[in-house]
Amino acid sequence: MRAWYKNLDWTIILLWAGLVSIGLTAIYSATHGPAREFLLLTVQQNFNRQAQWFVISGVAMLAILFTPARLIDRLTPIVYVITTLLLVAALVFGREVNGAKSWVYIGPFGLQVSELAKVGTLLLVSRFLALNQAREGRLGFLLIAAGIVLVPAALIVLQNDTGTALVFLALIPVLAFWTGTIPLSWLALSVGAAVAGYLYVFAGDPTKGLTWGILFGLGFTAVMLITTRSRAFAILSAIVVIGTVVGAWVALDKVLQPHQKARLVAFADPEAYRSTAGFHVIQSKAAIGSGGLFGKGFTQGTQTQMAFIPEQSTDFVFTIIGEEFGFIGAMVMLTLFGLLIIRIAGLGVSAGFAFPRLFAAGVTGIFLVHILINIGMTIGLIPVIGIPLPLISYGGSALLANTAMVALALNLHARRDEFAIYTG
Amino acid sequence: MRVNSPASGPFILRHSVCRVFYAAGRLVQTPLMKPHLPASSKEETRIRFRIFTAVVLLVLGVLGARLAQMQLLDRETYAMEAEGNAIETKIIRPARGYLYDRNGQLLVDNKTTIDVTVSARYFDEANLPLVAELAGVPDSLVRAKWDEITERSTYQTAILLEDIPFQAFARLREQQYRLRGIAFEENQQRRYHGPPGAAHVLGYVKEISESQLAVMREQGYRLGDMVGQTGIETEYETVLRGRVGREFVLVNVHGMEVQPYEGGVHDVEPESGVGLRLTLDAPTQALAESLFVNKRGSAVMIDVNDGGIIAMASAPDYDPTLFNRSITQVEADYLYNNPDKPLLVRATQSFQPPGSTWKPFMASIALQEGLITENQTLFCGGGYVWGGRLYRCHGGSHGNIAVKEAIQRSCNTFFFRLMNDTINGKRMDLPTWQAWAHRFGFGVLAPIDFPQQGPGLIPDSAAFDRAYPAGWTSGYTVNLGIGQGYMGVSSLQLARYTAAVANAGTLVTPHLVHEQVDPATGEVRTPSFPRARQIPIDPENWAIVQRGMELVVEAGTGRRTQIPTVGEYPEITLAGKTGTAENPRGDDHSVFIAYAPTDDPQVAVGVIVENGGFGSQAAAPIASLMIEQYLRGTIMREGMVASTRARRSGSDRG
Repeated sequence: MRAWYKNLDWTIILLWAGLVSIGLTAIYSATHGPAREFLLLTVQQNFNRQAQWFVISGVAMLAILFTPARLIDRLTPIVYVITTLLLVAALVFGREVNGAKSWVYIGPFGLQVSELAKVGTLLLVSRFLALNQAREGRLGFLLIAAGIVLVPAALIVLQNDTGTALVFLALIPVLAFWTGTIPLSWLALSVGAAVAGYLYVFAGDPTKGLTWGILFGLGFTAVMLITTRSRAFAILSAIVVIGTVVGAWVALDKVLQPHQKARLVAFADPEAYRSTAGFHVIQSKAAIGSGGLFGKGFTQGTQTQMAFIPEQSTDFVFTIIGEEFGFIGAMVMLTLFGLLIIRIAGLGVSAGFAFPRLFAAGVTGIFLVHILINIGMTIGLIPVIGIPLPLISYGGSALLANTAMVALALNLHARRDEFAIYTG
Repeated sequence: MRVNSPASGPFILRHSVCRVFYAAGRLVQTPLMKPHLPASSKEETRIRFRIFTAVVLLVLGVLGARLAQMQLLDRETYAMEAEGNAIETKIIRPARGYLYDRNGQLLVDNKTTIDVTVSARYFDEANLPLVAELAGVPDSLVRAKWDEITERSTYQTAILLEDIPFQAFARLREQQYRLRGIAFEENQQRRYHGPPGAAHVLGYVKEISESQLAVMREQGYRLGDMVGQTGIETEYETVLRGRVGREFVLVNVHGMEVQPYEGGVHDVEPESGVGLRLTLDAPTQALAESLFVNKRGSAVMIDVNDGGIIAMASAPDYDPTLFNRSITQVEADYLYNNPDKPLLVRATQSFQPPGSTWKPFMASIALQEGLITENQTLFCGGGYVWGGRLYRCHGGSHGNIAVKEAIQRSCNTFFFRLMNDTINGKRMDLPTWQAWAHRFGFGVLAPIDFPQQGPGLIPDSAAFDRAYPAGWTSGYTVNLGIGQGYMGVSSLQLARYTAAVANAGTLVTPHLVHEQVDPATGEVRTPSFPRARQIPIDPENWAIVQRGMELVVEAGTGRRTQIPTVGEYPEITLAGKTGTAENPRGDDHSVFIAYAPTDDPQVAVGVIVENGGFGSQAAAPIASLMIEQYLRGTIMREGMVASTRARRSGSDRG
């Protein structure tokens, strides 16, 4: 049995440090640039606070690495209960920030509990799935697994933070994929339906949307027919995918009020909503697009420095990287993310046990969904959903939670030998 | 370390939380579906890892591809949007050139005002009431201006409120972060230091109009620029305007300036407009204006030697300050709908028959043409009969009268004869008469540095044909000999003609600008004007006419205009001629021309008081007082000033 620290994967720690450094650089630019005096005092302090959180997160990482796997295993349900209770506490005692009631204050110390809940939820659900593989395929098992995820997600919806709740829901297909609980064909079908709905929205107007969506549905059905060789499944695919397109049409253009629809579809045609829902997308795209290959230089971005971008150090932090460091800077960041995600998933696989594998899969799933949605919204591919860019965006709780997840994945990999003692 | 036995149940289920879920699950526990791939298999796990890696690469690839499209292919488009956002070109309007009188007295300079501008595409209309409240102006006013701006262009920044008080500026500045699209602009407004107002001479400036912008955009004008609309302000627009400066600044989303763009290396300093020293004499101009209160008419005083216009007053006039801002309905009614036409520059644009002031002209050309000689007399029997009609002479019969006396006593018969009779075997015909009039500057435009003027009317037979389609006879043209009937001259033309008589034949080029003064270097430039022209009349003939005009003042109809010795001030000798232009529609117009001093003429004056009665009544004292003011620098005849001011123009509708 090798000592855990000899198994420690330093590459991941370096990738983590690299990404956090990029985040600190971007936050520094957003808060200490030439327009500093025009920022709110609380925003000006973002860099210093994030630097403090960086230290706290580093300490937390060390603490987690030094925790035996057995203890993590035992603490898992307790962590889940505590984080879930914190969600309830936020609903009851919490303070509203940007319309969402997701903060709990202990003295001056504020915690965005929905971020911490990700750790507890992922720990418990992956632990549960790992220890109950024998019950795979049973409805009760699936309901419990789904329940573990849905309870915190529901609480977060109640806090009026739908974006974060969406990330919880994304755990379900990710884990279903890795456990093999749900056949790949069904996963493919759900992805197909999602793509069809997205196409409808992205097309911009109902006629074009219906055409694109239905054409995609027919093509998708053909692919499903060829791969599964099941006529019944192909018919089901056609109904589901085309049904999604029609459903999107009815929902967007018949049911929703124009201003509600605007929030969903403005990203696809921001010019049409220039003075309302499209403003931020236009500004964010202008920032990133005008960065060009090399960017405008550190603190030289006109869009970000002149406050044309909202939430610059949090949800729209990527605009700073895109504008000031250009395509090269953005690619460096995406590459680091790609390496981190694939490496973590690889660690989970090579750990050789279900718990580390599923936990790592959950971490990578959460990261990937965050990256896709966050960057996607800044470049006009996805509606504006307020979730941060992991390890980059300003936000102490998120940095702590994401660091903890990386550290836990590292820990479970490094201490894989300890599993043999108490698991099958 | 305790080892879990599978038989004791899953580790997790020993925790009560999970038991709740598990119990719920058991209620509907049925086999749902068989997994296609058993997860435990190492081989399957590897496949899943590959699929997962592919998905990660796909997601990052889509993001990367989109970034490549935006940052590499479409960079220009986004860069334009970004620059349009953050880099604002601030036009620094230069200070418009100042205007001075001939002695350097300041007439017009500028005052700095603060205007509120709005970028319509960033401004939220719902904030209009807040802007109005902070600025302390009525809601309706701001909304009206807003509607006007958005109708014109939502892209350009335009002025929402002009010349706001400093307190309002302070309040708005404080709340600017809430009012996206609102910004401030320093502007310059014309400030007039009258009297004299000299409104017609100076002209006014006004925000550039749509139609002007269409023409002048190429010269760098833009919305909101103030442009000379009339008078000197128009004529010298190009020098007065100066050069526009440009400043490139970075503005934030609230439109607040943050810092210069790239340290200000692209900025261009504005250059102030050139100052103009006019030929006007402020006290004389002011006096003329004061004498014309409650009258319609005009007076022009011109330098006999170089043509510089010392005074040019037209009445009624207006306050050019009105045009600094939007004018009200009452003001517009006065300016545009008043029958007295305050905007009309009467000195150059209003034409009346000259009446008897025409007689020196007739005498000059008759002497030159050889119709008469100095001492040759013509008989006046108290009138002139032509075509079965009697043209009366005033003052009864003048008997045999020579040219000097005919001018002095304003004998109509004498000049009817010069116009109509064959004398010494010669006869004045209409083309000859018209050609001479043109040589004297009548019926043609003067080469003056002033944009508004008309030629007046010196008719030829074609003009008579047009005016009298039913036919006309020499009975119509005989009146032209005494400056009545179908003809019209301006006071500027009268003054210029009088100057030509005074200086024996030099038709000076009238002008209003004496010098251009560069405000930065102090460098002075004298503008060049067309050369004066010579009227081909012999000096001895001029001397005869001059003497006739001297007699008018010494012992004729212009005696009232004499400027006697008062204390230290010696007498000023005048030569002049009264005129009464018959007005078939109403009271006659009072006309007077004069020059002084007679021994070394300096100034010539032409005055027309519409519906003012006899020339000696209204026009003559004005000319006399103006000459005294200019040559003495002061007025000693206060009583005459008072009585002249008290006179009003009569009715123009019989």
